[in-house]
Amino acid sequence: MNKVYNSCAEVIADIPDGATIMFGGWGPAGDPENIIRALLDKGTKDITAIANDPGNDRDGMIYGIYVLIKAKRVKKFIGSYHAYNQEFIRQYKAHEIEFEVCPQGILAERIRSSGAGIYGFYTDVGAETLIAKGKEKKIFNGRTTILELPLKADFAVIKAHVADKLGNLRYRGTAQNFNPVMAPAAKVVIAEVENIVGVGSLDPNEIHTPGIFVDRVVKGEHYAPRFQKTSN
Amino acid sequence: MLQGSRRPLTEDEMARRVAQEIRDGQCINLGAGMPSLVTHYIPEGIWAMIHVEHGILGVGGVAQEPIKDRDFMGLGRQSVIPAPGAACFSSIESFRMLRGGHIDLSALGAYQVSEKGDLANWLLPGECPLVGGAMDIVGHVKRLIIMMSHVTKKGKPKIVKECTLPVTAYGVVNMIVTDLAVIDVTPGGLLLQELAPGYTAEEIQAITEPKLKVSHELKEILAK
Repeated sequence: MNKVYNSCAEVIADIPDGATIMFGGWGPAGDPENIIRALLDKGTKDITAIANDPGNDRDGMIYGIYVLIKAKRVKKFIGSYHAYNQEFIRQYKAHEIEFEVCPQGILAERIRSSGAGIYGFYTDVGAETLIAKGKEKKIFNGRTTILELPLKADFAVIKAHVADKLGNLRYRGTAQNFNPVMAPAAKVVIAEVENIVGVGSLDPNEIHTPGIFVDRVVKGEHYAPRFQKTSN
Repeated sequence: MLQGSRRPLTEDEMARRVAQEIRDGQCINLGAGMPSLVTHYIPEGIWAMIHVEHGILGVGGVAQEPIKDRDFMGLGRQSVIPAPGAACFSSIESFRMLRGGHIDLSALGAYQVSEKGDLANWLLPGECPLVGGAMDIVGHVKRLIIMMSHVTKKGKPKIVKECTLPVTAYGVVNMIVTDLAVIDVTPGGLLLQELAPGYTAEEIQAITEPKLKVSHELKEILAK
């Protein structure tokens, strides 16, 4: 068995227009930037994107799904934070993009539950806010909660530091974030990684995402620097 | 009242004042923007672990040029150095720490705070919602401090009787640190504890909607 693909273009070749896609990453950390560029090049459109944030292009530093948003390939965004992405805000105000806002930790739990066979959960997060509109309410120990439902996707594109050919993954630092959460939650899971090693090279004690959750692995072609221009 | 030039606190001075609330051994969460400045002012001799919601507990400082690492991000897209004893983890683990009540203190920004400690910090009329991790944090963190300017850019009070903006959560704020005052939210109402240099309690009351009780130990904010 070999889950390794030769290029990002090849690994996403069957993602159709209109697909629901989860994108790993939080701000500039841990986003599958080479796959995102490949989707842009392929022309995939009418995407429903599930991600923490819609990326950004501040300080000349482009990250996340910003390039897909900018090219108007995303029809609906489900996420927690727009990171002051001015293009996203413009499209939202002009009703050019749908936005389902979800508190960040609840977004993670909704993604987690769909990959874990959980059909919904009650939480007090946002229960007294506009976010609760239309959601079933229930009181536990005197506290109002709302029912939150799982988020499913056709594809998840995630980023890890290293994979073996079976799709076992390891992340580094804060680049982990939503990536291991999304891996079990989509029908087809594609991991972009910086390094691919042989089977048996990774210590079983140190694997973050077991390969059972990963369908395809590809080595990212190019990684751009990701820092503020001026040091603080 | 000490004599001296009359002036509001700078953002760094506000951060220094918030940092004085941190106790040894605490795990703290800081919002983006002004609250993240608190990192720089943790008092000497206080050991605290800084939690950043995308998955690190134990931020040691901002990395400078030779050791910048793209996989270690702090708030505001800075590269950070993990402190000795730091841990990195997923968003699930990160929010388990927050919602599970394991974080001791959080400092966040706000648009409005009511006299009962209600918080509005996610939605302005006609604007795009900005939730992030705030809704998970407030109401579950052990102590919540709000850092904000005392009034809006148009000079309207941000400390109000009832929030007129959409509420994030009710009754969750414990303390308010503004550029002009330090106010505790108590079951009996708002208690004015400290003033910016040269300001009087009457002046602060005039730009604060609800009635303030004034502490018997009212003093100038020590933010140096």
